[in-house]
Parts: sequence; C-alpha cells; structure tokens
Amino acid sequence: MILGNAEVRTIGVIGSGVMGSGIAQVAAQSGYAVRLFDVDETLLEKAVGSIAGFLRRAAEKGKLTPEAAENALTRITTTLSLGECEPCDLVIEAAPESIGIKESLFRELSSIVRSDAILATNTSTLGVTQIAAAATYPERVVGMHFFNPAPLMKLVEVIAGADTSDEVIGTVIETARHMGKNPVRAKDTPGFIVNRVARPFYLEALRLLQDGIASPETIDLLVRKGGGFRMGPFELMDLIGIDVNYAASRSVYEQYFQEPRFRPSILQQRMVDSRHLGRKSGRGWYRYDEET
Amino acid sequence: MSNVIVIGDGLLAQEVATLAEQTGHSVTTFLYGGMDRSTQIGQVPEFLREMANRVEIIVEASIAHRQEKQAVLAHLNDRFVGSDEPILSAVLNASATEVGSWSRHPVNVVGWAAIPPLVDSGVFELMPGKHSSANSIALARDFLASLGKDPVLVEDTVGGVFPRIIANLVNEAAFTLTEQVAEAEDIDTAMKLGTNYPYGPLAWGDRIGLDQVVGILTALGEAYGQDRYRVAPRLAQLAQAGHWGKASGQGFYTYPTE
Ligand SMILES: NC(=O)c1ccc[n+]([C@@H]2O[C@H](COP(=O)([O-])OP(=O)(O)OC[C@H]3O[C@@H](n4cnc5c(N)ncnc54)[C@H](O)[C@@H]3O)[C@@H](O)[C@H]2O)c1
Repeated sequence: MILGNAEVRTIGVIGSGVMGSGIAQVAAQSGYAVRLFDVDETLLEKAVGSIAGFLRRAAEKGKLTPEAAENALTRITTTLSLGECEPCDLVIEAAPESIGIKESLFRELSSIVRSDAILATNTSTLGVTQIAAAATYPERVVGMHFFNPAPLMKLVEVIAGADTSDEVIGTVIETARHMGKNPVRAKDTPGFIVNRVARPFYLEALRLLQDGIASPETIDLLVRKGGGFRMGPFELMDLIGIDVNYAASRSVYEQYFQEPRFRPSILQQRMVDSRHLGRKSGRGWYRYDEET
Repeated sequence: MSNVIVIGDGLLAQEVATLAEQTGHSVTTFLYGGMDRSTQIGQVPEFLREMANRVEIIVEASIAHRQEKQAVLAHLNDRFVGSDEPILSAVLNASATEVGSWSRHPVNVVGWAAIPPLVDSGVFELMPGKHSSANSIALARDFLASLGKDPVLVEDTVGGVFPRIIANLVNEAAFTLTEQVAEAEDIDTAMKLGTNYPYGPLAWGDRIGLDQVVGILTALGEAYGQDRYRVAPRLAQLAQAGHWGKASGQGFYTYPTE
C-alpha cells in the first residue's frame, strides 16, 4: 500500500468555478504552488480575475500586505491540460457535481500524478467511496469538503472513504490546518456532518409552516431572537437558493433510503415549481424585487 | 408585580423563576426531577398547601415526562378549585389545548414556550389553547412581557416553534454520533463554523437537559408519528442513565463537578 505524502508543496485544483477559485486562492495565500485546471479558458481567466480582485480588496483593507497579495497571485498557474497536475502532491477536485465527470477525472488523474500523491474531492452530495473506486489507489482518495465562500469559511470536513488510509487523512488535516482552516473528520455518509445535521433546521420549520402554526416571518423571528441564530430557516433558504436547499434535502433523503426524518416538504417543491428560488430570483419566502 | 409559583423539572423552569425574581415578582418555586433529584412530583400538594393564599400566576414547565405534567395539573385542580389564576403551561411536551383538557379550568390554561439559555432570548412564544379565555391570554401576555421579553403569538402545537426545531437538531446530531460518523466535538465545531449556529447542538442539548430534549421528542412522536421523531439511541441511553447534561455533570460531554 502506498501511503500519503506528508510534505505537501504543490496543490492541483480541478475546476475553477465558485469553489475551485476559492480553494485555489486559499492554497496560494497559504504558500502552496497551485495548478488550477479547467476545461473552459474563459472561466479560468474569470477565476484569476476574481481571485486578483479579492486579494486586492483584502490588501486595501489592510488584511494582508500588497506583496503577500502579489505573491499569492504569482503562485497560481492556470492550465487547460490535466497532465500539468503531474508534480502535484495533493489534487483537490471541484468540478461539477456529476458522478460521471468525477469518476473519469479520478481515473485520469490516477495515471498522471505520482503514486504517493493524494486525490481529494470537494463533493457535497456524492459518495467519496464511489469516487475513490474509480481511482487506481482508493486508499489515497479522500473528501475535502470546503464551504462557500472558501476563503472565508473556516470549516473543512475531511471525509474518509471506505478505503482511505489514516496517513492520507492525517496529511489532509495537516494541510487544511496550514491553510488556516479548522478541519473536522467524518465518515463517508450522506450529507457528512453539516448538510445532514442541518436538515431539521429547515424541515421542521417547513412542517410548522405547513401545519399553519406560524408564518415564515414569525418562525424566523423566533429562531433569531429566541435562539441567537444569525438567520432563521426561511431567510437562510432564500440566501442559499430554495432549489439548492431542496436538492440537498432530496439527496440526503434518497441516499438514506427514504428515512422519514429527512422527508422533504411539498412546500419546497412548490416554491421551486413556481421559480421563486430566493434572493437570486428576486422572490422566495420573502420578496426582494421591490428593493432597489 | 405578582405572586408567582413556578413548578417544573428543568433548566427552563429554573430560568423562568430566576427571571421573574429579577423583574420584581414574588416567586415561589418547586423544582423536581432533572433539576433537583431530592424532590419528587408527589410533594407538589404539600408545596401548594404551604403557599401564601393569594397566588396570581401559575407557571408550569414539567417537560421530561407527560404523566408528570398531567400529575402537576391534577394537583393544581385540587388546590385551585374555582379559582381564575392563569396557568402558563410550557407546551414543550403537550399542546396548550391538551393541557387544558387535563385541567378543571381549561379557560385558565395558556401555552408558552422558550429554550434555555433565556439570557440569549428576547422572546417568548405565546400559544393560547382552544379553550383559553381572552382574560387569561391577556394576563399571560402581560406576565411574559413583564419578564422583559416580547411575547410572540403563534398557533398551538406540542413542542412550540423554536423548541421543536432545536430538539430535532440535537436529535440529528445524536444520530450522527450514534452512527459514529464523527466525534461530538467535531459535530459541534462543524455546525458552528459551517453554518453559523450559535452553539453546537450537542453542547446545547447538554445545557437544556437531555431529559427535557427527550421529553420534547417523545411528545412529538406521540402526536405526529414515531418514524420522524424517533429518539436517537445515544440520546435515549444518556437520558435513561440520568446523564442529563451539564446540570448532572455528564451528558454528551463530561463536566467537572464543583
Ligand atoms: N457551491 C457551493 O456552495 C459548494 C460548497 C461545497 C462544495 N461544493 C462542491 O464543489 C464542486 C464544484 O461546485 P461549484 O459550485 O464550484 O461549481 P461551478 O459550476 O461553479 O464550477 C465548476 C467548474 O468546473 C468546470 N468543469 C466542467 N467540467 C469539467 C471537467 N470535466 N473537468 C474539470 N472541470 C470541469 C466548469 O467549467 C466550472 O468552472 C461540486 O462538487 C459541488 O458539489 C459546492
């Protein structure tokens, strides 16, 4: 068995979308050399542009020196060729949430990187074990689940698949800490920790609404003022996107073989059907289109 | 300011009593079970006999066991025959309407709900039952407001709004722990950092009292179906063992004893 390489210097990031660009930025700011890969050149350019903008604003606010911002940016190399990931000690995959795409990426990456490199996936809803099975060495495949926005959110869930070695877990935890993150370890189960434990926050609130106990405004108020939460469940669904939240509910529910605790609500489905998806569509549980 | 009696078995009862004292009410408290193992529900009649004659507000927060809540209501029936003091009953394990059905004076019964720690809370849930009279609702509202928190009117449901949400969060975290998905500390850290919860659900459960959390879930299960509100095995076991959390020194976590 080939063990994880304790010394991570070069990190590959696959996919330069919302998560990939954030992860690339965090890695570069933490001193790692970054190879950022995407299939779409314009998206790579856009990602570098947004990272540069973020770093510039951070420097303006005095959160880091202009030199540090400049250095971080120069550590990122973009590429359209997966083969450029060859020197990477750790590759973090943040491609679209499709098992087909991820399986073929892990198969291909297996033949590109050194035999002691670690392959990590940022998947939110797919099984780490299933993705790992597509790689040559499943013991070197691990989940590294960042939260959006990756540069700001401190949490990283480090997910052990069925075959992931303890050494690999240890190296990834150490790397996450070096990135200034707070890693927690979890087994490969649907929703891992956060996306699972948070389900009742939304589903119980939806049940209360459906039963006519209180309005979204009142439930949000009681959760904010009664419990010190920053946002109530309906405000948070509007922020996340009601479609995204509904998809997460359905995914956990289906993966747990329709465990009743996770049963989604018809109210979510109706909101998605009506295209009232929350802030992004101007209307969800609340209206945002009247604001200017 | 009123003469208030508070009867209950958990931190919620204790904190409401403290709050009432701090806001100038004259409070007599009877705590049993999870909060004071030296006293028992059977001593309630004795406690009520010793009460000063004029009681203006009765607050009941007996949450861990529905039979005990029923027993408290029966004792109140015996003591306050024909009286019209409002009974503010915490709905965490029975709706206001159901508690009213146990009372000889259902018009006096009004539901309320909150979750400790009350210092963090700016609101009380106010839940009239089907029988509550306008007068007792008004008296209940005024009393809750006098404690310095806004009463928010919602429909009557077992569990209340926020306690239902919190109890289910604690339960799901307990399932996650039962299934050995992650360590307790990591579950709490993940919920605080990954989704901005003010406390980790396991530490919060320990603070509320695991007997209380199980009381809420069990009542929800009886009302709406066990499949959805089934108590996580780890949580059920801790409650059975008397490991009710912070107040008893052990729950999901172990606490140093004073
Ligand atoms: N958005 C979130 O809040 C969030 C949070 C945690 C985890 N995730 C997970 O992160 C992953 C990426 O999500 P995202 O929101 O950044 O998506 P995104 O759509 O913003 O980015 C995906 C990127 O992958 C690129 N891509 C498409 N096909 C590819 C391929 N074959 N190989 C490599 N790259 C390819 C796309 O061009 C795009 O730039 C998903 O697995 C998602 O579940 C997302």
